[in-house]
Amino acid sequence: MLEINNLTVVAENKEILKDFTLKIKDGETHALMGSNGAGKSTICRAILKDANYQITKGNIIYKNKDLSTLTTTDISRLGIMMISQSPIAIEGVTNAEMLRMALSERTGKHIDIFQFSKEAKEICNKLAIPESFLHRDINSGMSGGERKKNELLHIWMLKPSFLILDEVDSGLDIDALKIVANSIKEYQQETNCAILLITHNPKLLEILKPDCVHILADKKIVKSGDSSLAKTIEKEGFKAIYEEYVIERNLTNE
Amino acid sequence: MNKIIVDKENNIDIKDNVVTLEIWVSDLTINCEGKVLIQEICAKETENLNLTINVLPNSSLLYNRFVVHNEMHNKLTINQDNNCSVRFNYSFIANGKCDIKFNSNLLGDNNSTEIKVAAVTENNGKAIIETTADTKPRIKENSLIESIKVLVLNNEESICIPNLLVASNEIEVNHAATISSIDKDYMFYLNSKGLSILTATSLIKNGFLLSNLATNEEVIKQIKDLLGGE
Repeated sequence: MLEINNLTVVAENKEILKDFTLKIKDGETHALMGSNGAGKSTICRAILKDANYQITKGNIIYKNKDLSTLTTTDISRLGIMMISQSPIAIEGVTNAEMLRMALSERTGKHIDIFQFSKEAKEICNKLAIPESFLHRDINSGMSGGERKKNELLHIWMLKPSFLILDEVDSGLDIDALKIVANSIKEYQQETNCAILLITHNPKLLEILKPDCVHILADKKIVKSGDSSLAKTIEKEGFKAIYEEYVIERNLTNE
Repeated sequence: MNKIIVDKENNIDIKDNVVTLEIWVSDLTINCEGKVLIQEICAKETENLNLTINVLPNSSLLYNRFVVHNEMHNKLTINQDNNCSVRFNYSFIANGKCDIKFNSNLLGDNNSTEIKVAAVTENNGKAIIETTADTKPRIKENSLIESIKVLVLNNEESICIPNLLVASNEIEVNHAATISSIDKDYMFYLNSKGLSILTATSLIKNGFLLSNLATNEEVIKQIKDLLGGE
């Protein structure tokens, strides 16, 4: 289980999140929605301890460990992985090379190249991507859709237990979106991983079927509900929910 | 691929050939004719090399040079006449003071030149790289690109000086120079996949040097073996 308790996050001397609280159990999918600039990506990066985001209050607990005491590397090895909306490209570093090193460092064992190649090729076939992806530089020269599939390859190889999907649908056409979403769904069914999903895409929500939907506004979660909340947002936008929250907040303050 | 070891001569001719080159002299002129591909991969404690490359008319040269240096003071000069294409890719690791003066002389018409230098400074390494493109008056239809990139992995000072001496108005010349440490986004990305800072640094460094070369799997393996044995 991932627990985020009363978290305050600051970036570039600006408070982005305050009193942010969220609990996600193993196997659950939680969608986080909110208007632009609400701080959705901030929470993703804070979980992974991106140095650009400072946690000034509260904590994040995963597998009974306080993530504030760990490095990004440790957090990843604990099982948390993120796909960001635009995964970066690293020239000269191939997928195979990075994955072999990552697996070797995680397990502390030498990785058998034959076994590694066999598994990696099977995953490429499952994801309908060319095996040549393995020997291409990470995300280099790849389209938006190819980058997301490339990141899926990393997920299937590194087998995280908690997935953060930060607008994974951006840059995907409808066919690519279905492939990516179905692959994530299949991965979750096989591994019982938990998912924190940042999206407003109805198709992605339909395929991944979140157990809970949360609305982020005013630096915190202001409303939570089941998947029907996403449909309400799709129809009515955030305004009504935010107004309802402001009235409640004012009443509480009085 | 043919192998040429230069340990005595000061002048060699290479014509329509793909060669791996080993240079053990301090003064060398290479005359290239036709289509020439040169790969040079080595580790050298110290190097004081004055290398001149003459690319003969209607010829093309692709030169990939990868060297791990402790100390280096090199002068590299490329002379192009007419209708030549030259790509010189130089990647090196500087463990001590390394300075290069790189002169590219365009003497005639219709030439295309790309000089790419990528350096990584480690330990006590310091890179001082000066590239000078010199074009003669009244030449035309030439294009030239100079790119210098230094990845700093220590606290030493590095210097890049790209010079363009343009005496013709029918030429396109560009230069770029960057000195930087490891990109924080690269590091975060690789750490978030579970790689330690040390391993991520090594991958980024190797990738930085390798991506500067236009090369094949076999050569990449040779370079990685060399880096692994540092």
